[in-house]
Amino acid sequence: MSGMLGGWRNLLLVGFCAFATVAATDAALQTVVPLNPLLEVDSAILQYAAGDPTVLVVGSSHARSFVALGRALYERTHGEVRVQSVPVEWGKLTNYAWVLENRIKPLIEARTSSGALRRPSLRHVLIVTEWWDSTSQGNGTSSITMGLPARAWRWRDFLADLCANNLNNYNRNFLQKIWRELWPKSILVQDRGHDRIIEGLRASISRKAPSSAKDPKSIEFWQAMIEGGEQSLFEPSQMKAFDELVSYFKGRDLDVTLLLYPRMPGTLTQKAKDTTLRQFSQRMRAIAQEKGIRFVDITASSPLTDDDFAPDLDHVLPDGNERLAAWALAGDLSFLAGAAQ
Amino acid sequence: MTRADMRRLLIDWLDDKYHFGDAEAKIGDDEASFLDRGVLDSLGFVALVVYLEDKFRIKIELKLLNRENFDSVNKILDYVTAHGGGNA
Amino acid sequence: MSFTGVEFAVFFPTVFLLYWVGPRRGASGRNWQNAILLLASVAFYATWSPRLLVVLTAAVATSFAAGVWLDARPTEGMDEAQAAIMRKKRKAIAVIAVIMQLGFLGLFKYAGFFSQSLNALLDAAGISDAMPVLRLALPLGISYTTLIQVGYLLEVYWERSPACRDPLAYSAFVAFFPQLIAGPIVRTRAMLPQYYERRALRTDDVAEGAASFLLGFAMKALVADWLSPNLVAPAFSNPGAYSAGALWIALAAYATQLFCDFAGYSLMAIGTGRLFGLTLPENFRYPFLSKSLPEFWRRWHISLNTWLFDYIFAPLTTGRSRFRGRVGAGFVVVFLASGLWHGPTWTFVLWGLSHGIAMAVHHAYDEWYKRRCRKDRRWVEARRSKPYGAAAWVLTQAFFLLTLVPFRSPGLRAAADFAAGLLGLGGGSGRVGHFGFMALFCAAFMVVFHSLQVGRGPALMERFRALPTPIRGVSYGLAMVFLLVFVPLGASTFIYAQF
Repeated sequence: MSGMLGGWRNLLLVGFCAFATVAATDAALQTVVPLNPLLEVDSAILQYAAGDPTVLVVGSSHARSFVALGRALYERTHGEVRVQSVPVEWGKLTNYAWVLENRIKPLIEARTSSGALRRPSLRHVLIVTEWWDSTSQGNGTSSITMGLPARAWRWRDFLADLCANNLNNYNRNFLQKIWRELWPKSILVQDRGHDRIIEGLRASISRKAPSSAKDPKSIEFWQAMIEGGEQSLFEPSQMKAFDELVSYFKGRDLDVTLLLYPRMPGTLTQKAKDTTLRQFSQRMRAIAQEKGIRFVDITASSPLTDDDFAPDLDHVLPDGNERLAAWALAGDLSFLAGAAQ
Repeated sequence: MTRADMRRLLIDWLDDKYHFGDAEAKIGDDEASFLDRGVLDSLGFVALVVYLEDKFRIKIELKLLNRENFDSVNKILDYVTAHGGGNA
Repeated sequence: MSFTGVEFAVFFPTVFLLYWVGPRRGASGRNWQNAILLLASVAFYATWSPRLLVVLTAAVATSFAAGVWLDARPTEGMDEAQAAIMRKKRKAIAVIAVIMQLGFLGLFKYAGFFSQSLNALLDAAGISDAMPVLRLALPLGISYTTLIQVGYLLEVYWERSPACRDPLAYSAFVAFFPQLIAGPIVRTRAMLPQYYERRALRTDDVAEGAASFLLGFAMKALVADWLSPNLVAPAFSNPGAYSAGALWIALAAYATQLFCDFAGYSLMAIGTGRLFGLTLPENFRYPFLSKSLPEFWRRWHISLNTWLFDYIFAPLTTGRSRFRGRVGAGFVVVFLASGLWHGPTWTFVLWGLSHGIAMAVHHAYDEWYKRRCRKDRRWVEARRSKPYGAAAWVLTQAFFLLTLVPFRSPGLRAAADFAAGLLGLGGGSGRVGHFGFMALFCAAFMVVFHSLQVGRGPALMERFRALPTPIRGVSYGLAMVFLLVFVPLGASTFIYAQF
């Protein structure tokens, strides 16, 4: 019996030491790579529910770039203008429409017991998009990673998809989201797919700031992808979703702006500008005019340089977001500063 | 044919086919497992079955055609004896 | 559901807890455990293809019923006339039951291949699209569960093993979820009796099971899943773009990926089995240490190869047919079957045929060499020498590597293109990308993994096991940190799940 207890005691001690090591390493890593919780649909919805925004920004992960803009506006207007971004990872207009219908609309339309709108302040909507959003849901890389709209689901949406499609890489992203929510204080869990730990350790060991140099092969990949996007623009279900988005917001007498957001200059070849980007811009401008909504295209005209973009060549770094906000509020988005009126 | 004669034939066959004079040393004792001591691999087992059937004019039923039943000298000799192999 | 998916982190602890909290004794304890395993396996299966659970249920029901019927009718004790009639009836039932199992497999896996191939032949003769091509979704694990059940039926028919009379135990034995996706292919005599008793939770099962799972996870999720998109897939999808050197690296990377994917999965399956007190058979034993092809096949996918050996090769070469004693021909048949089992494509047929012929050639060489040994003992010593061993190792591994070209290629033409590229005839000049830390880590992992089995490796492992408990715990913790940092995100399926 004592031999058996010794066995279990040893086993538990090994397990305890193993998990203690993981926890201690996690804490140590956070001194090098602090937690950086990203705004997701769930957290955005919670923020929306707790507040009463005057400006709603709907878009892909790039909608996060407008958090800095929202902060700037809030300070400038002493809280009169309140911006709420709702970023939908992976993008696609159909997914924005899904999030609007299932997550945002209930908040917009929520009423008090007396029948008044619970959140009556909404005046402006920014639909932040790019050519990619108009291509089909399946378009993109063949390996599905962490960034998928399944993360915008609730349990009932996941279970419905599970029954219809079995467990697959797409709906598994919902489970990965749940898993991340269970470990909010762990950098080892939160960093999965971001590789900030590896970059941070590398920079710490070499005592140099992470290089802003971009991988030439990745740039080539992006250039080719954007050039090739011309073949896949304006997929019918995506355009239908865009119609639904605009119709809903217009139906509520909201001021709608369609904004084509900035891309990293190094990824935009002249051919891409002449084909994919021009086609997309021209058609969306025409649609905006037809629908009576504002159109702003800052894809290639923003002051952002390649150094303002993250190594993924896609997202803008925090400093870049601040510069973008200042520039946009001085120009095409200056009307938002008067959004309180 | 005595058990000793059958044993001699078996050892000679192992020497001829696999161990070239080292079969006795490899086997160790007559209870030791062929598999554990590397005396015969799975292909050797198949060759052994064909040899035993042809040499001792016995039939090895499918029911018993597995290595565990032929995994030592004693098991082989017991089987052969029990199935009339001593009359080869 | 996958072992490496986040859902398994919730599924497994739930099943583990339910499994061990049931009755502690006797039949009710055993039944509780078997029922939990069966329910878990059904749930596991349902996450892949709930509709095809019907196929699995039908297969299990028929093999169970056939086993009970056969077991209830032994020929022992009957007079010769009655025994002869009963033998015929038993044979008929066994044949029908085996054909039904193979029929399920044939329908789902091979119907499309054969009708497509026949269409191609008829097309060449000027008759187009004569046969409808049936494409059915492949039920999860059907290649594995079919072999388990056919093995069971043969064991009962040959009266080597009594039939199972407990449908719960039998269903759990066939459908046990760790072995569903990619084996190991369990055997009746070693595995089924484990389901007849309540399993006890033992420290060595927990310790070794968890260690196996962790090692298997590292192999699959870290090594295999990194190699596939970075070094293997680009070269195999477009071999013409790469230089010969790059293609050789890609081929070696694929061998590593295949091994780590499959052996890793097996270790996870075996580890999970241990955590339920069940011992699944070993499936890999350091195949890259092999110095001959027969040795390689005793170390790679052991459960499949022993199955093929025991149920096809041995009866074929020891029976009364024209294959009696004809080991070479037996190899060709067995490896052709192995190739087809892997998949209904001509590339797998080519792969299987290559290995069958090579095994036959090796056997002929072995017999020739042994004749030399009989005449002159120096040949025996030469075979035990280091240069001979080194040459044998190089030849064995090189052959296996080359046969991976058709194994991995999407078609015969692509395989030919890749092979041409290996010889420098492809015209490509591209280099492999991403040859940095992770590539070196994968290579080092393979070297260390195999080195621990030779020379002073085992002694080093013993020294590690003898280290104080906290130090071992910290080591495991650091290994887990490494995995959390470096395992790529995004689930990928197991290669052998497709077979």
